[in-house]
Amino acid sequence: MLLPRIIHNFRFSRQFFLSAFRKSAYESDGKTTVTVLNKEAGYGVMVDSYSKEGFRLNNGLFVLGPVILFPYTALSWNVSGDHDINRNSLAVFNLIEPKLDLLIIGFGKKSTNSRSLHEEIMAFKSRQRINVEVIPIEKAIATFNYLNSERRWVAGAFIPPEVVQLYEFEELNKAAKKKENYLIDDYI
Amino acid sequence: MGKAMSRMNKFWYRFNAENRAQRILSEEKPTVAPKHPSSLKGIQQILSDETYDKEKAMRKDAVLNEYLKKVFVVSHDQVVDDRFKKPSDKARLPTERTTPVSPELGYIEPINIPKGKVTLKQLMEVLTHHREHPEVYTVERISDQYKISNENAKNILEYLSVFSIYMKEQTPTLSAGHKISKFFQSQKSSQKALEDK
Repeated sequence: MLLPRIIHNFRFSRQFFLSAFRKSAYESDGKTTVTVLNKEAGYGVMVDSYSKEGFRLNNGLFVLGPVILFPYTALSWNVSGDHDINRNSLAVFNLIEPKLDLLIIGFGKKSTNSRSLHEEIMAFKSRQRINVEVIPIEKAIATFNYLNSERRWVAGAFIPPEVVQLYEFEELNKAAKKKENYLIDDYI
Repeated sequence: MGKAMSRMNKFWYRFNAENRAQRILSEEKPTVAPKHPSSLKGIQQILSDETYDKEKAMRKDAVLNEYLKKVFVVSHDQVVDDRFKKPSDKARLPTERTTPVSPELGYIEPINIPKGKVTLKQLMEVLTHHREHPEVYTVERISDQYKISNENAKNILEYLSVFSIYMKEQTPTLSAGHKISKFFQSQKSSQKALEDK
């Protein structure tokens, strides 16, 4: 009973932060400030990290499955994957008033070169005259976070990635946490 | 072909233009252009009226003319329109200096919502209502209430939903985890000690 809960708490996901230089980042020698967007208050909903199961938002909540994000709201998106993005599942973005500045679709696959993209999304884009950007999820999150920090009227439709690629230090962190969680001892 | 045709047309329209113009100018009284059917109707209506005296209408009325000479419009105030004046330097400064309050949901709520569209606030309303009472808030009712097409209402309910929040139960903290690991370590050390003996 205890172990699954611990595993749940320390679900590994790639940390994802963007930093931006607000106001004057450089004042004088040795006086440089950096603002981390996701940690700053008042920027709205942003994605901190992602995994195969879902996304962790900057308010600490973990959302399961595909998600639709607006500057201050998150809605669950009932699609099964990249192939399920079509005019029906995207209908809501055309319905919203005022019209969206930009819709960012985060693909779960590494490549956005797919049949559904060309047949459905591009047709939707040209028919409804909505600005749509289709990018792999890793870049889509960064784009959404940044545009949200600029207070634009954007929406993000994100699908959890199929593969999460970890960097070296993240792998090391993962190993260290695993050791701590599963109580693995080096001596045995 | 297009260029050739346009040249042909040009030639055709200008053919003998000077002579035709001279013919029209040489006429003593120019022919009156025909009246528009709408104005023609009104004129005929007046003419058909028996009380209408054409000769009287054409004659200059001395009495009315005298009246007209007595009418004057005199304005005493100097008319100044601010719109055409150059504003003073002070007036050109911004009137409000407060930072605008960021809207609640990231957009300014529109005053008029076009037919067939919903705002994000309304969308959330639809989804929460549907979650609470799915048998009451059906596709038909939603499309009727928010004036959106049946198809769109169906799509919204099929593909969107509000997240249900699950809070974690009391989970063991890191310190508890340390305690457990310490417990195991102490066991191991005692085992090791036993083996050594």
